Amino acid sequence: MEANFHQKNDRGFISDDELDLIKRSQNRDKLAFSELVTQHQQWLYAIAVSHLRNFRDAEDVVQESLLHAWQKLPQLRDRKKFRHWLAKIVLNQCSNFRRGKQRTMIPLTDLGEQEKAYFENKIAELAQSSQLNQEMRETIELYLDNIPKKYRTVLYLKYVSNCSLDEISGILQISRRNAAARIHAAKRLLRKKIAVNQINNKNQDRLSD
Amino acid sequence: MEAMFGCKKTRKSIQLYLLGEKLTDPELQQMYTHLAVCPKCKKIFEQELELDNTLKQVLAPYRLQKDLTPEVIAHLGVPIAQHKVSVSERIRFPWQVSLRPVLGIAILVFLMVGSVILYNHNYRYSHQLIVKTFRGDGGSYLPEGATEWQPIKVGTRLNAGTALATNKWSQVELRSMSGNEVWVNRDTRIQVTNATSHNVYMAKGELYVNEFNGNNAIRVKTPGGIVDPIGTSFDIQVAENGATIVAVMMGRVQFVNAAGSAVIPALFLSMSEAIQHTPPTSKNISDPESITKWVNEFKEISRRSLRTRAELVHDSMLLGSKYFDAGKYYDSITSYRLVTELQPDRAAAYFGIGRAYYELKQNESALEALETAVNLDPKAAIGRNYLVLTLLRLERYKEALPHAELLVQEVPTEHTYSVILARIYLRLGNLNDAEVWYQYSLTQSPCVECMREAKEGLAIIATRRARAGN
Repeated sequence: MEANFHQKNDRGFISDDELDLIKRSQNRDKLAFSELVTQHQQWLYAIAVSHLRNFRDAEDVVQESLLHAWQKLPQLRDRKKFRHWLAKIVLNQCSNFRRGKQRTMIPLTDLGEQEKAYFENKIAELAQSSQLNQEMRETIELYLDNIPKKYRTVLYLKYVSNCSLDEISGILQISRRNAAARIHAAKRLLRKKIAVNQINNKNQDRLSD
Repeated sequence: MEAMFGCKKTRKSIQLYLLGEKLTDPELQQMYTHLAVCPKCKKIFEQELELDNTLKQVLAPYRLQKDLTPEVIAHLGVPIAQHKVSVSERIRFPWQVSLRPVLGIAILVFLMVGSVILYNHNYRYSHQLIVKTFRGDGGSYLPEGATEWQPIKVGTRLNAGTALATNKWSQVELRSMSGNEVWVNRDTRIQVTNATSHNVYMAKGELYVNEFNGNNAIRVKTPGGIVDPIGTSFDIQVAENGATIVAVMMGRVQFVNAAGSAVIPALFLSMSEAIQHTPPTSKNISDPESITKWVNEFKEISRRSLRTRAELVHDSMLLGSKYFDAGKYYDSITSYRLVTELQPDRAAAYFGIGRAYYELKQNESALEALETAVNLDPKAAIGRNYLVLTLLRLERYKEALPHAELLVQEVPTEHTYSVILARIYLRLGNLNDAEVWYQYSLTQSPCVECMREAKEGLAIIATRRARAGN
């Protein structure tokens, strides 16, 4: 069957097993909820990181969101929208976190020593494993902060938590077509910025010569 | 192969492939085949793949490194700090109402009340008439609820319910809020109303209405019916017995009374008697005979209402004269033009037009009309006199001379004509004739101005002769 963006009921698919887990969690079954946490923590973290750009804060926010979800789960009426509901909780918690505690966002360039070391090691590993274009990587890191949040979120969901189009559309409650379009637009935006950056670098080189 | 599986389709497949969608084996095969033959698509595929890999590598460190499940499960029983009680969880008392709908309703009510007040305000003042000018003693007005009549002043506001009366020596010009003008002539009684069908009720007399703003037209009710203008200026006369005459100058007028309605075109007069009709009631509306009778009755009245051409000419001449006396020269010209349309050989109408243009100092137009008048009626001395005066204004003395001589021959007792003739001679340099006619005018017991002019003229002649002698 040919893959197609235009599928009916394309707001994300949720399996019967998951629906069962949600139902049990609503009946205060901690085991079921722990399974749900294991399933969903990765993409919840991706969303939190995409918004906060800070590992520790993202972890805290995800934990708090999950606890909040546990409390509010009995109030969830449409179980098919569970993922979207969770995503909304995380987004609200992110907003509260930034507004309520008045924390300033820590840019990646100002990370703590421990995190910096972790990052450098990780990147070095990756650089060794595949010959990554160093310049491009730096540029992408720089510009990931500057692209709109809705594009950044889909990129993180896609590349951090390896979500499929179905999952992204279910989490964000957008159509599959829209999810694909957002990923495509985000990439196009990045590519454009990279091209501009390359031109600027060339011009600077010429001037310095 | 390229035609079978084109670039567009390949690029879509590339996107799907990179998005992690599962492509079927034939699709994959076709995509690879196309990439092998199309360098452009191949380049795009490589670029996309490179960016995809880069993003994977750049964003890989952002993956969650530890499992949060144990921590979360451990804290499930513990209440979350800073957790705020949501609105739905709060204990709600019956008197506690959410603010949003209340605010919405309040805004809605405010807007509705505001619009009603605004509408009433506009509606109230849209019927108001303001006194612009008046002549004579100006007449008097009686505000609603008052018992004593008060004299009119410029700027007096006539609200709904106010009555206005003019006597035989007074005229009042009114202006509505929408800019339309109403000229209340002598011996007229009107009342300002705020009825939906009409703005002014007119009991008797004459009104001249000039509609500048058709949206808020001034509708006049008379004992004969309602006059509804359709972009127009018109004149209404109501006789003592309630009979209504409508003269339409421009546009059209709809005349409505119990008998029915009729549209009166421009340059046409219509008259309606004070009809005491009983329109068909709900009982007899289904009766065709009563309807036919009613229609025939209306037709008969309409037939009687149509005026003869002579009557129409007479009325228009009278109207033109009245407007001229009132200083409304353009309206006067319109009335006389109506006469010239109906009766092209009516010299007096051309004379009226010429006289009005003369007063407006539009000399060329005046000359044209006066020449027509003099040609039609050579014995009309006043018309010829205006012609001479117009020619003098235009400094065409040689053309004026024969007319002035004719005037003096026809009316030798009028000292003004001889003074004018002498003036023409003086301007043409004929001092002897000028002297003769100045001397002659002095023998005819002239008015003060003519006597002064004659003496000044004789002095000028003497001075010129003295200079010529030296």
